Amino acid sequence: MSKAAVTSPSFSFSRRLGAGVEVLIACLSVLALVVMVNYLAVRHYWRKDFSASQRWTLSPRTLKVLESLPAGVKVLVYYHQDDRLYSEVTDLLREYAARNPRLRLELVDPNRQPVEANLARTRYNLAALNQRNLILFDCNGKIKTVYQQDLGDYDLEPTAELSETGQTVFRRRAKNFKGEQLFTSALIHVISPRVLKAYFVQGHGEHDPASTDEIMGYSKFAHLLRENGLETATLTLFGTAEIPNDCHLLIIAGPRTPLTQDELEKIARYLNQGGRLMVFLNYRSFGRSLNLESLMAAWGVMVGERFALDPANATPTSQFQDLVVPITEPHAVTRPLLMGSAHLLLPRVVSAIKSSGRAAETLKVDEILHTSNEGILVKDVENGRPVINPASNPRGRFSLMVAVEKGAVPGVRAERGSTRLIVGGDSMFLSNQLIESRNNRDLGGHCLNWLVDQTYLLAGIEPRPLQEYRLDLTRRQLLTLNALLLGALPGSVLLLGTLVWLRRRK
Amino acid sequence: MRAYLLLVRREMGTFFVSWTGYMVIAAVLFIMGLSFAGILQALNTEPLTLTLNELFYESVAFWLVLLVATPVITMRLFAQEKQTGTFETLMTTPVSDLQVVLAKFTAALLFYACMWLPLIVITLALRHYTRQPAAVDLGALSGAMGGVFLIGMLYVAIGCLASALTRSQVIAAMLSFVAGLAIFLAGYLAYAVPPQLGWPHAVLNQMNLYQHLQDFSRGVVDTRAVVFCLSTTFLFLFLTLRAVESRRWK
Repeated sequence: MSKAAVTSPSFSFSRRLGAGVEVLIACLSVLALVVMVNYLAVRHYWRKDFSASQRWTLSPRTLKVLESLPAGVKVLVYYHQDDRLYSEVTDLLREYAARNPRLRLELVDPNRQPVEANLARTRYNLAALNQRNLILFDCNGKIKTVYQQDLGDYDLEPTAELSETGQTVFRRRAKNFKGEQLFTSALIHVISPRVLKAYFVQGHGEHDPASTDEIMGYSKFAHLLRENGLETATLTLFGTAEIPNDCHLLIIAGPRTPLTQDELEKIARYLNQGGRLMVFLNYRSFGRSLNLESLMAAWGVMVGERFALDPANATPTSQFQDLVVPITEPHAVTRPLLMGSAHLLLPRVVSAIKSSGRAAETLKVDEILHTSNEGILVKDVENGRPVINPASNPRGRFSLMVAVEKGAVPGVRAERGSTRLIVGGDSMFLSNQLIESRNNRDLGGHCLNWLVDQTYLLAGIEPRPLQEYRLDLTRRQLLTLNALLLGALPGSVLLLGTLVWLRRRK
Repeated sequence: MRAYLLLVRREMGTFFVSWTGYMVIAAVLFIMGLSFAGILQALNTEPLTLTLNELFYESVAFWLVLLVATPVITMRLFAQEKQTGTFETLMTTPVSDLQVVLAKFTAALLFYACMWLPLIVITLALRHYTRQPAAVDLGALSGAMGGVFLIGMLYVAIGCLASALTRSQVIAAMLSFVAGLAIFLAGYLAYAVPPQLGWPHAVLNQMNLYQHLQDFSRGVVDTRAVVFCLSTTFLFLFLTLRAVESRRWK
């Protein structure tokens, strides 16, 4: 036997095993180090937007709100991916979540995730909201919903296309994105222990928010108020009762009998303190003075005695009592609903008084809903049906709803903020019978959100202008660019490669 | 240091004196061109709210290039040398294993960076055609390039490890592609795992390269993304070094 054969190997199995274990330990140590570094990085990070447009920079106010978020704030984005503003919404909320991981973001596209969408619909009763897209903020059961219509300011832009009749086709273009304002406001709302309260004035035959009556009941509107974070209560102003301090919104919906002078004084005091009031009149008070007319006149609103009808826009089955009016005014209340419509029943004319007694610079009165130019003013009703007399009834475009805002007076701070009113000629559009018709529900929601709007608390968060990019290349220019991109650039690199190869071959 | 620079130069030379380097760059340019041709067509049809940068990095083309080109670039780094027998010769020269690994990594990374350079030129040229300077935000463009470089570091490091583990270039490329794809898909899972699950979501979110690149392409720099890319690059390079050193005790 040779000497080499009996000698044990210099790199024995045990040595190799030892070296292998050593390497394994070293690798696991480095892996642990990497995990720890990433753990620390997730907990303590720095994020900065270096773009020139600063599109992804959140306002200091939003950052402060995000810092103070408690655990358990959830944001449900129930939104169709193909719909307008989807990427703006999700990107902005991802930025929120990136700033504070305690904010849990759940994206649900009803088309692509039917199971999750069904769960969300059941959990939050989304079916009742009748909304295609929404963003829901939930903090331990306190909920605030932001609707797609509120997210942007839109305008109509002419396109190059022509309709069959040869008219220019317009498209709806989003000008601004108000996501940050609305989302931060919703977050403040859900994490704040403060509860907003809406009071329904009762005692004059008004609609009852607790009533589920299919025609006159207001239970569905009361539900809408709760969805928007407002608790509802009823209130009688007889005797010594005053409007409570916690009243954030006073609603007078369809009174049939006149209000007393004492009641009117209480309402006037409330308004002067910066109160928010929603007044909707009703055909049942026709021919009677409700005394509200004088109070409204003091705030620049004229309540007419007649009904406004619009036979061209009445539903086919009605006797011209109802009208479907297009929403065309770019007011904050109606702008999200542009090109939509409201379904009203025998509305009284409510219009702005051009020269109000109040300082014109502080009182802003806007008419926000009109009949078409074919509207008719009617003063006679027989058996619940309007009597139309083409010879004597005035025709034209009549205002049906008005929004009033009293701007802040320098140096004066009202207890409740700045006064806001919405006065409408019809209360039935929010009744259980009509609230689901056309855009009535949305209009009601926008009215109350505008009235209890607290975005003045969010000074510094401005809507972001939405920039659109486009090319106007001719077919020839497009072909040239394609040829450069697909042919010339890769081809020139290959040519260079060939030259190098040829040179090396020589 | 001198030995390291010499090795880098040698490695870079192998990319540019052979057909491989030019073929890779030409293929990448062609895929980029396809993507931009689509973007041009879309922008010429209707106005879009996304910038050119965002449109490109959200496209399949970018990820296709990243996932396929990096294995092709890195597959030959160690595997070819092992196959041809030049690896042992290299290792007998007075250079450390660390220098060899770092030099090959640097060279592959530099080539990867060269591969993306035409993207800057194409983007700036298209900016001219949109006649809207905001369509290409220079801050966002710099952020995007930084993001592409950082993610490239990770993928090149993965490729180095795969190449160090085998003698076959094809296996190295396959290993690298699968590992890269797995990391990409794991990050993508973050969208499917609900945040309520806690740490699994947090882990996947940290691995979400798509989200990290989206941030970079908007000009948003987040230290979480930077730390993830740098730390995982370090991990894979460390593993590569151990794989190279393993010849001494295997």
